Amino acid sequence: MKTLEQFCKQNEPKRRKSKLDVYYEEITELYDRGYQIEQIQDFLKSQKIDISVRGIRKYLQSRKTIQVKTVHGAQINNEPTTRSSVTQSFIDKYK
Amino acid sequence: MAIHVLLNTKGGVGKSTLSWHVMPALFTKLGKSFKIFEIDNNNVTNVFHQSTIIKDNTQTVKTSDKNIAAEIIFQTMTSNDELIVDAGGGDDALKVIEIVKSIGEAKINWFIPLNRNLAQLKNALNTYDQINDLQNTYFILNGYTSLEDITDEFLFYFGNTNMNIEGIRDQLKIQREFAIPFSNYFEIAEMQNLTIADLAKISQELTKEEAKALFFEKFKDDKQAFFRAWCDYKNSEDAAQVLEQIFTDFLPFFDNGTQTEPTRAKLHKRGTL
Repeated sequence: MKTLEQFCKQNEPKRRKSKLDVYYEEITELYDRGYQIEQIQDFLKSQKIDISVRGIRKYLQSRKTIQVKTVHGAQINNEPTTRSSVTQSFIDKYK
Repeated sequence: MAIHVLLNTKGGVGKSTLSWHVMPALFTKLGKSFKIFEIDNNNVTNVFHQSTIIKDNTQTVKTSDKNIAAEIIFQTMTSNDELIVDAGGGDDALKVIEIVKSIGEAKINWFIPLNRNLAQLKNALNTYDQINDLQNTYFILNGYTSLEDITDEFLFYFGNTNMNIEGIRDQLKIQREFAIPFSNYFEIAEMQNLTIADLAKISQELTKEEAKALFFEKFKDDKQAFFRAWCDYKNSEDAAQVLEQIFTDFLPFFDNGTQTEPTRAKLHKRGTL
């Protein structure tokens, strides 16, 4: 861990940051509460952030994708309790 | 709990779409248990044999069945289930009004789905008169293609002063309505004996990356088959989008009874209301 901290001190992260990162919590909160992307766009407009609906959708997808990759990679998660029989049948159909 | 009655003396206006697709999806989302009564002398709608949302919580009865009222009263008194009543058209609808009104024990919400044409509007009005419970009756505008243009699409409901048409919304002083977008995904789900919420669940439980990996593994040498499988998955994603749209309109009401429907908000924005 010490090595990691040292590395971080000596190197700035170079990954491009999204202007939406500041509102990440608000955006996901609205999305989880069932708000449409267009409504999230309205909220961002009120915060003087101008972004297209497609841009917001891509941002949400990329965030979700990152989480998924970290946990499961591109493998199928086989925990039986997390899926309904409908989804399991879908997976079995293409296995 | 409450009794939610879907009815219109006209058939083919979306009663079953509401009863079997939309309401179950809403209650499942809210973590509420529910039971569906289909009260219809002519039809049996339950084709959802593969559904995990609709299992053994349905019952089909004929309007001539003398036990319906007793059954509904029993349910309202002994369980916390939300009761969805899918009433058949014509005389069935009128009989159902009579039966449900005779119960008198529970909170009742009456929902009248209608499509956009004038002939159907007359049936909807007739149903509205028969119910005669202004405070608890809601119209459901079924099959809009654009929320921005919904006032044009449902012209006879909203009216238009430039065309000198007074809509029933103003005539009856209706305060709230709900709206369902036009979508093929209700039927696509039914073809698989699923509800739209079951179909949507696939993409919610299986990520895009997982699906891609699954299809690639199986069809790496068959691009056509890969494409077909991907379309299957995409149907689920699109069904989820449709549901999301519906939830935005319905959920606040079913969650806590508030009236902040986006349909109305959008119309306000346009200055229509």
